[in-house]
Amino acid sequence: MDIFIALAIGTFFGIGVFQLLRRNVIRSALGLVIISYAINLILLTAGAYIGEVPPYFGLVGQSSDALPQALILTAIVISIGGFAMVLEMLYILSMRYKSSDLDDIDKLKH
Amino acid sequence: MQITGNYLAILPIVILLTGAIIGLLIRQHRRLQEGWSFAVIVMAFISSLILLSQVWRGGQPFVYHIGGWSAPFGISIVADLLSTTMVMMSLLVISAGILYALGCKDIVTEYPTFYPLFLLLALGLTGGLLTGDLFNLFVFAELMVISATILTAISDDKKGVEAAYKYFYISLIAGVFLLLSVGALYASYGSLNIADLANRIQINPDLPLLPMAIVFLLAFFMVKSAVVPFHFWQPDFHTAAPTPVHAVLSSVVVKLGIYGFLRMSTLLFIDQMDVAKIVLIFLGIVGIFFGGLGATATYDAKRMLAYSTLGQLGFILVGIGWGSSLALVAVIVYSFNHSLLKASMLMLAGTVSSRSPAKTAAFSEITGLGKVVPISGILFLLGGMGLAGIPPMNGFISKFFLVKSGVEAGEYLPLALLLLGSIITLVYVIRAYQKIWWIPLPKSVKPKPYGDMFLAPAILIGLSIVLGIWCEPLLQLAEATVSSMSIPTEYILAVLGD
Amino acid sequence: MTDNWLIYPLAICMSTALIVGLFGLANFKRRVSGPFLGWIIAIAPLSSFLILFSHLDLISNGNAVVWQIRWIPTIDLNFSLFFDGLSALFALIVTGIGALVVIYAGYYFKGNPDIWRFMVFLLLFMTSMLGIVIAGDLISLIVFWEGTSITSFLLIGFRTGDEEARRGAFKSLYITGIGGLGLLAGLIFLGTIAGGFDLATILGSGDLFRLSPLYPVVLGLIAIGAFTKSAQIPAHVWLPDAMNAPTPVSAYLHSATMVKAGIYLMARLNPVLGSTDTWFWILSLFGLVTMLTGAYLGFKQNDLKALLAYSTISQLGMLMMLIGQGTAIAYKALVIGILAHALYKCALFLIAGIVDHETGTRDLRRLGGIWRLMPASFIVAGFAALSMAGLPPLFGFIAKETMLATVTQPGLTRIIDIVFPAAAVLSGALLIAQAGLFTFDTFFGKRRDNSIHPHDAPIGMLLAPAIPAFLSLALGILPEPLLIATFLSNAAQSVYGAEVEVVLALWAGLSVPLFLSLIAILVGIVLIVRRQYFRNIMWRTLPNLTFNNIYIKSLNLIDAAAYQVARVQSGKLRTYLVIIFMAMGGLIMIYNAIPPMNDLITAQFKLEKFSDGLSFLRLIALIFIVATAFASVILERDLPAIIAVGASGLSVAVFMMLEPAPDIALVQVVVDILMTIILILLLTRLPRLQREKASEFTFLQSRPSLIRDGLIAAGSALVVSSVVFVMLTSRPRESIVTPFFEEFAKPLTGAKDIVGAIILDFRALDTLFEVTVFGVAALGVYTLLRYASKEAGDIESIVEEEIRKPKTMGIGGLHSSPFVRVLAYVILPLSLIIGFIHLAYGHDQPGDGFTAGVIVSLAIGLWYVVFGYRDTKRLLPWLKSVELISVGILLIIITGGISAAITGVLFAPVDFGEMLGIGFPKDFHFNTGLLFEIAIALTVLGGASLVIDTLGRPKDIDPESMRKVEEILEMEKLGQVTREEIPFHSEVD
Repeated sequence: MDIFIALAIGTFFGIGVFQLLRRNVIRSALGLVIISYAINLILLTAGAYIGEVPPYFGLVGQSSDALPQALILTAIVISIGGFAMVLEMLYILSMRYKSSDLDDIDKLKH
Repeated sequence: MQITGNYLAILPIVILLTGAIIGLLIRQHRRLQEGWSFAVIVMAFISSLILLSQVWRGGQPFVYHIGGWSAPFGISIVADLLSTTMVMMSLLVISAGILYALGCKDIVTEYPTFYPLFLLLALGLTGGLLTGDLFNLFVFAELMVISATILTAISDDKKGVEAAYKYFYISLIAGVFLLLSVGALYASYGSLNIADLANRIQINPDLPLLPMAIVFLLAFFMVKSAVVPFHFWQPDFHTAAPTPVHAVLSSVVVKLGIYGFLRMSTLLFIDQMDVAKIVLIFLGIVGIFFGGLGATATYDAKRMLAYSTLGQLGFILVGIGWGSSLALVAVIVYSFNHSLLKASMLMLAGTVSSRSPAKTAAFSEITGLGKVVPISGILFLLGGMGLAGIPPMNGFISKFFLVKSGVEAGEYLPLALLLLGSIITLVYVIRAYQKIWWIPLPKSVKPKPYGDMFLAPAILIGLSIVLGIWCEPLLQLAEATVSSMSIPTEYILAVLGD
Repeated sequence: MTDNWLIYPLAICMSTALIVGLFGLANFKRRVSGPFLGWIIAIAPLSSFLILFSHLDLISNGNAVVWQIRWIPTIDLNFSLFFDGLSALFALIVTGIGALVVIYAGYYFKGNPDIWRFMVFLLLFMTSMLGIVIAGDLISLIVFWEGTSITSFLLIGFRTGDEEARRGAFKSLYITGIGGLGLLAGLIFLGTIAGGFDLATILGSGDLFRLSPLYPVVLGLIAIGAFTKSAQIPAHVWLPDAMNAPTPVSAYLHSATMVKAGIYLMARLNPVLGSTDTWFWILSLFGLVTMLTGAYLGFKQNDLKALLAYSTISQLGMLMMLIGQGTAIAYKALVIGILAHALYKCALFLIAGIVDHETGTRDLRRLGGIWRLMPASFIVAGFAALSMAGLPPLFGFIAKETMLATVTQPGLTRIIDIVFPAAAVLSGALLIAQAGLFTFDTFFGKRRDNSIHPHDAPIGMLLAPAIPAFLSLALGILPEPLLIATFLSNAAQSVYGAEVEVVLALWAGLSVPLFLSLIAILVGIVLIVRRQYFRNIMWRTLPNLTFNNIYIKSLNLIDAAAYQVARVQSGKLRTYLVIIFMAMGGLIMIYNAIPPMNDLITAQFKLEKFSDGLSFLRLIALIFIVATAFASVILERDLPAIIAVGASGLSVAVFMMLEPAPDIALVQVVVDILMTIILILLLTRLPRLQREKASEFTFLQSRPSLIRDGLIAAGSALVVSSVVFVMLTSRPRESIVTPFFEEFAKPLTGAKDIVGAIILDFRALDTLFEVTVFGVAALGVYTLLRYASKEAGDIESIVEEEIRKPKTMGIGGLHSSPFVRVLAYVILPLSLIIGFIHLAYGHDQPGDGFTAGVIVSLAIGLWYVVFGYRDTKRLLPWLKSVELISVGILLIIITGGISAAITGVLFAPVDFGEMLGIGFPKDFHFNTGLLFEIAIALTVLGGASLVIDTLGRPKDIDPESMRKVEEILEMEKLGQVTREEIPFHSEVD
């Protein structure tokens, strides 16, 4: 079972990478989103326990590992913040360069 | 450890954060905000100086456990000699950067959020250097990245957004690398505290995920300090940034990666870094030539200096790769001197380009413009000498120590390449100097009557000369740092207690 | 520290340089006449000369004076000075001739304000040159060495306006700089082998070097330094171009002093590195070739200074060759040669300068027949030239005799016995010819160019060349100048390492040398008489032995490589990313970091593993995740793709529910919605044509690039899967920190929700900076759009967009039905309530300040949509985003401060409820956690609403762009532009 989960998460990440490398800026941005989601999943699987109940005080049964979840919370907030920046810059770029093609955004070279 | 030590460890962070936020609240009053921001950064610098002196005298790291949760449960701020030295260096240069910004004619410095963002950039760097927790490092790094991105995106240079965009993209990927490494390490050792991790890794070094964690962490730091081939963001990003920001980015911010490599090779993965060291030497030498040649080829003074940073970092990487204690001393001295020199030279290029009607540092535009600001010409030449390792600049001392360590380590091939590489430095520096300050100003060009002030670079250059002639204090600091790095248990015990 | 006098000369020159520099900055400088300045400044080198001269007695028969202070104690490196016979010889030349040149320069730059700058550079050079010859340790030596390189760069390029001067300056610095690097390495090798850098140690450990396996390397590196500095073939190419310097510089640096630095270095190291075959061959051969080539090339020149430059090269070659010989008489010849050459060459250069100054040309084809007009110069030049030609009764004659005596000594092999004397004779003859060329074509013959009306230079200016010229006469004819003899023998002794007896007699009896020099003289005379004939042959038929193209090629190589490197920075982000991913793969390969998994995988396929129901649900969720993500790849339009990603985000939330991790599942949902909204907002703002053009690329991309990306994606998928797999199979394992959290969350922080406890208490710092990052990002969006983008003139493009719907009121704001309005009115307070609940009970159940903030800001976003920008602004006056952000973060800091004040530790949990004994309803805690939550909520609310506000801000707020809109609309009405001409659309598709 684990191997399928692992493969699935890996594939998710891979799709993100593939999207990241598209020329269409929107798709590329989507790639970022997918990758950030995938990272959340990976951190989640880094948890130590096979959880049966959520990590609350006083619940009976093996709870899931709380620390990775806390990390994920932080990571999510940061990624959404960064994401807003990315889209903002994309917007301005598309205005300045009159294109939504990543390969047209190459004024800085050499 | 006395309590004051504890507080000192986190003082720079608190000062910077509070200062930045208050600066944001008073954004309507520009003069006030400028003065306040400068005061804040200077305070932070002074606090770091006090911290450094205390740590140095105490001979033991200062640790502050946030919320009183002892390591590894909470987040600990660890100020050992290495991190404190780097912090002191960074805040010194950033103070100069803000001082320059005060006298800078760029429009960007008039935006209400400029100075707060600048302080937050400093905060991100400082925190990243001081934190003792791997995930917290991620948070600080992101703070640094995002403020740097904004500062470049809002630059007067229209290409700023493009540069910022590319940088941000690559940095996000770097963040992914770091998180993967964090995940792998937590899954393997069940902890995030660097000291705790180092301890456990030494006890139990052959877990399946360790190599992966090392590689990802390595990659993260390589992106941070623009190691070829992770460097592509660097020339663009640094060139497009506003001059004061550029001076900071290209001198101290890139040193975060250097710090990381030092931490990895002397604390976290002491026994697992052999391969990495070879890689670092190789990439360092590639970087030396890459940066040097790029600087020779490029068309813009600021861009030239950005490329030159690649090369200079290459020298430092080679030193880290050699890893002997003398080499590490050389690394620290080199980092320090390079920060001073590079920052000042960029500011000087800025003082010239601010006079050009086109408001650019492209050689085609600023040829002969140096005649307007002759003093900055002298300073630039001195800085260039430092970069090329010519006495009496501090750059000579760093090069001397690097070569000496190479000779003693018997690394003759890298040494030879390293010397060859530094010839290129001489070439581009002198060419730029002649282009800007020797060729007579074309009649057609009408330079602006006023430009950026060169007080800040003058101070830095002065400091470099002093450090070139009387380098003893810096050397002693470096030696103390290296000797403290050589006993990781000191760090570990200080954090974990016993 | 008895011998402090040794530092004075350096100190004097240095301080004079600084003083002159300071005065140079003052504005009265134009009122000081050049000659006066020259005479004043000349005091510095003169006094230095006298100081050194008065202490000559201390260094008789091989003694040395050492002075030192600690410089870098950490590697016990001292800054030390060392004064012995050899140093004395050079130091006196440097200071003595220095004084003359300074005086000369005063006249040379008469009425030129730049003289101040010149004097500063000259004095700095003098300091470094003096430093080289009296340096007492290798590091000080290299310091001063580089000092001369830089100052000579400044002096050669002194006329910055002159293209040639700039090129010459660069060339000299480039070549000597390379030498400097070699020297640095070589000397560090020396120091490392000897275990110390100071000269005494080095001179003590000669055998250590000769036996060391590194000997050839060290020798090679040091030779590079010395040869580049002393213009040995092929590194000599910089010297002729350096002649673009003002003449005093040529006279001082490029004949008397700097070019001799290499000679000094080799002579200095001869006792320790010398007397090996390698040493002999390297020095002799380079010296020999240089001597001949220099002599040959010199005879071709038409430019006075170029002629002198090449003859200098030839002489330097001879000296280098002499050092290689390793016999006592060789060093006798060496020291005599150094002195003689310094005297006459300096004089000749200065004369050349005078001629140039007076006639305005240095071209032999224009000069001639001017001896009547400037007789004094002629006489001085005559003596100097005779000395150069090595004719009796001048000092040059003695020099040449000794040199010939050296080379006619029986050598190692037969060839040498023939080659050396022959070479010596030939170059001697050519030197005579050059001397003749100089004198005759300048002063005799008929006037070639009548436009020239020169007259003699002022006496002060003539003094400078006259003194050395007559010195060379005096040294020749004085019977046994004992003082000089002992002085020179001291010098020779410190080179040879043993007693060397020097006699300065013109008449050494009938001997082979005399015979040889007779031949040389005869040949020389023939060359002079038929000079036009021979020189024509040289120009026409014989090869022009220029080595310049080596220099050119090396620079071209650098530039070509640089061009290639620059092209790597292609500007294509995708290429960068691809390279980074590949490099990542490379690193993983090198480390072979892929964890070993075979046994794990086999263990996987045991059936009971599959029975776990929860993980089966997980798999379902994952299938949804992957499927939707994949859909986002294949879907052709952007909007559906975005929706698909949103869907996969929700499935991620489901997966998190199953972990089970409700807290992050909740946040994931919220964030997913927010992200989708922002994306759609962006979509509405990207012109459709652009997007359509771009979206085609996804499918019409070139197959190779698709395959490449596919492979990279597959690779990263593999890596991640392997990592995740190992993580999963190692479950359950012990975590170090989590048990602590689970145990102490409730008792210490009063939080049921362990995740919440970690966020708010255990890892408070993370949270603090996480929200800071969020706030900063929002500020970035704000600054970028409100300020930067306006400054950058993006307005125009915005305007073009506006053409489509000029009446916009931001996002939405048009025709919203009353029902929706009511809905909006209801939702905002509702969201506030939900938010508050999240805050109040975040400690005990899913949800926290972040969720609260986002929910409220989403509601506000709805208001923007429903009521439009202006009305929302009017209806929600309390919504000051930036203030919210800063106040929020400030509140966090204050919270930390409070708990620091109470408990003495930043961010330590404090329950104010308990402290103040206030009874709050169950599960509600008034504690630092609550404050923290509120602060987070405020920041996030501020951030999110700031983003929405910025994105929703209609352009017509900005009058400037509105005016443009009006104009364009006007034009459109007049039919000047049609809508089709404006390719911009702005609706969502």
